[in-house]
Amino acid sequence: MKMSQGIGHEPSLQRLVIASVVLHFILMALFFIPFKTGEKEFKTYYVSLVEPSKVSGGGEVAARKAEEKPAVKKETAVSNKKIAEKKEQMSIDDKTVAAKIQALKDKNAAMNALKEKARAIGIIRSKKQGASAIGASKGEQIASDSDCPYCTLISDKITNEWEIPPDFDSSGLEVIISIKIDRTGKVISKKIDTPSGNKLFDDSALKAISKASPLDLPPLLLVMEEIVLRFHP
Amino acid sequence: MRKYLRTINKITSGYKKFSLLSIICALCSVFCLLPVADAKVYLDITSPEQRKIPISVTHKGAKEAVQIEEIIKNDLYFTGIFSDVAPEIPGAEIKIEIEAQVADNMDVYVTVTDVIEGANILQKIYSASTNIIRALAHNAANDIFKAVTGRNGVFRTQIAYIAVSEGKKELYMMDWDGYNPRRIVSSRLALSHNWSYDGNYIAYSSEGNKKWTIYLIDLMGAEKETLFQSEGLNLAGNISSGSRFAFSSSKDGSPEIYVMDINKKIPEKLTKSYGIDVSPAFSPDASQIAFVSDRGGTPQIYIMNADGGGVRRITFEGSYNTSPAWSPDGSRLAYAGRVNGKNQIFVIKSDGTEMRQLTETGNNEEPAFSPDGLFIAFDSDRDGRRGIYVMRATGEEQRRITPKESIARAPRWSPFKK
Repeated sequence: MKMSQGIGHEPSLQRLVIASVVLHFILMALFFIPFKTGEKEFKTYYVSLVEPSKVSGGGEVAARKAEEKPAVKKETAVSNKKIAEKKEQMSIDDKTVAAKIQALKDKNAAMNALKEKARAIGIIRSKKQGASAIGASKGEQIASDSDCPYCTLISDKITNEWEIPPDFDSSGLEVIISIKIDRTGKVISKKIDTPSGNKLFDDSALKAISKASPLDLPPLLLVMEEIVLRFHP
Repeated sequence: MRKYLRTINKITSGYKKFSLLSIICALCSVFCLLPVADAKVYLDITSPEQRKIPISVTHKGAKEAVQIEEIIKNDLYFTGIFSDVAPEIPGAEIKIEIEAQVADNMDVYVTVTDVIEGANILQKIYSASTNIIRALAHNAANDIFKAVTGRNGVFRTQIAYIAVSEGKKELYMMDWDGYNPRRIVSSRLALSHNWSYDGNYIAYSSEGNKKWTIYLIDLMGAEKETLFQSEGLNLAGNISSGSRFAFSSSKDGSPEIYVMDINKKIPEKLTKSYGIDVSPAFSPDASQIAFVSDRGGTPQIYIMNADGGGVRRITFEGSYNTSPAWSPDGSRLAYAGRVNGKNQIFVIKSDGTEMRQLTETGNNEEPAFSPDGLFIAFDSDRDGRRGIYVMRATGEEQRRITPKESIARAPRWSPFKK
């Protein structure tokens, strides 16, 4: 009796496995949805409004960021290694993995194509064209003011509001503040990432942002995205 | 049974697929997150406009509020960081409200609002008797300055100086704005006084019985003890954070620099040149001593290590440079240098670069930095009788703080009140 019950359940187990595989594929597909819309992709661009010769002061930040980068890579490398070890233990079909990686590569290529398109529209500028201290060392993409009219607008607006007392020695000071803006351009959050160590200087930068808010109407892509402002005299 | 085994086999292969998928998922999530983490726009903001912070001050309540307002305004505006905006005119970024209530005691309510951020940055009640209204107002000014700039204000610090009257040279001290002068020591001749690092003591030199004695006076108890006594001229330098006291003595002929521990009182000779070595001043970190020497032919400013080694000349321009005084961060020295026969105040970086002349008229001598480095006190005869002046460390806003009819010289600024 028990045996027959077991036989009776056999096909349903097979279905279970198939169902599980299908479910996993759906789950995986969910991971790619933000990729396919390409929304996040457009948001990565860097703007430097300083002449390269003037940016020497940014060397420190740049160096720091450059230091951070390899660390991240290292971590990824470690996690990749772990995954590789797991792979070996489980002796999985390598060909399947290769196929998946190929699929990923294809997607990357597709993303690059999207970037090219964006570049053509004039939002993003390539690494080599806009090389400045921050961008170059970060190995990231930089947009110049001509490429991002909105960035020029808001940085001009904040610069116009930025005031420090005349007798105040601010040489060598630098404060990095990230802000978020809403649909109307209003600054909805601002926080100091790297303080200068001088309250008056930090406050002058915060004040400039407050006085400049609301900023001009942002393009949709920038809404709710973090804008990092580096104040240095 | 075989069918049963096959089922198990299928299940395990299902698990294999599951783990494969999870690895891919993990890989995907890593690739997904990498670009998202950097999704930021970076902007550089440079070239701020130079503008003082506009503040408005209002008062209400008892008449004392008016006086307190005046003192606070005077303190704040002298820093050069703030500008005055009448309360009825919009534009102030900081609003200060002062309310005084006087019954047996005086209660002063001070409220400071950051208009731009809409935040209350200071709210405090000060209680005191009306006869210490100046100290109360300076205290409030300190708190306001700290709330706005994050730095300690110097408004309750003291300036020690030599008051000259009827042939006597006596050691006095006063508030930083020249008010409230009071005698510390009654003696016929006092010279070369200097604060200890903690502000509790002043070392000074005095002559008696043809001997020059260096005393250390405890400002709390007004007791004095002898630090050093010998034949010849002994002039006190300053006392470092490590209780090391620098002074000059001519007990062996030409004046040389000595240091000693103020508790052990065993002098140690640091210089051995043929010329004159005087006016030693420990740097704020006590690692170096600035002094004046004529070993190069004319009096010039030199710096040496605290053990007497590594002597280097700092000033090369001018033929008569004296009275070195360190800035509180140790990066600069103020000194008096002779230009066209008149002494002027200069500031120079401690590596001998970026020399700047700060005064132009009269004879200006004995500069001393305020403990926050924002101001320099000095004495000058530009208005006739020599008096004490205070200016910003940039040379701006030079104003006399002692009365024109009295003679005062050699200001020494106290450290922050502990």
